Amino acid sequence: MTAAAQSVFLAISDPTRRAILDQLAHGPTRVTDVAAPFSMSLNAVSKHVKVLERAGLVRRARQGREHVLSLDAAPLREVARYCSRFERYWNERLDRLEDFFAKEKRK
Amino acid sequence: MKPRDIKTTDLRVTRTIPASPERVYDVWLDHTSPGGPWHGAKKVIIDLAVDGLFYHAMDWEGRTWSHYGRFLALERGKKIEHTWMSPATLGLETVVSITLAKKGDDTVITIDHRGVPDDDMGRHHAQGWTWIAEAMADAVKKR
Repeated sequence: MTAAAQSVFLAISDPTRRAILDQLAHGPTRVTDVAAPFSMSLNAVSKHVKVLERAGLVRRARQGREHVLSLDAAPLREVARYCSRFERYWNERLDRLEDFFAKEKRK
Repeated sequence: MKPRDIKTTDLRVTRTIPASPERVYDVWLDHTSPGGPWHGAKKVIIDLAVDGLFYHAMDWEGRTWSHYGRFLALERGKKIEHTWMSPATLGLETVVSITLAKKGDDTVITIDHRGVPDDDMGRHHAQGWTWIAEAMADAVKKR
């Protein structure tokens, strides 16, 4: 798995962050509005947003004094591909082939 | 003909294997070798020739999968190509191309699987974040 896919997995592993992404799926939203439904501080929500930004799932734009967040779903494509049944199948076959020759070399 | 309502996709996986392309080719096609993709199949029928047919039944992820196909290209040390049908392809004849490229003492193996049903993506859209989080948990467990 690539480092980028790992950061996406980490980002979507948390229910608060998934809820933020669900909100942003409806369109760009001000940070304060994103934080409103949660029973946690704005600072705590901002930390979750930063994880999503690092994973490339959320973009931030400044509009005057406001910060507006929007969803970028493109990185999810790689994650979905990783989860594809066919891709798992072939990667397991390649794991087996690689192990076979690695063991042969060690002999 | 492709059923109109099945969305398809192509996928590519690649890996560097510490062996020559000829060795990788031979092991890949030898179903008795522990390194081969068909090793451990419940039953294998294989006619290793262009236009030769194959069948193998594999236990994977809790069920038995029957695979059928026809070899399209067999070039030792370079390329293996065959069609591929299984319950997972939903009746579609998909194409698997395996190319082998020498890189120093190693081989870069690239598997292109074309025309596979895009059902995992469909599930993703249908069930949303819950599904992808579960898939993520499985993937992390396997690491």
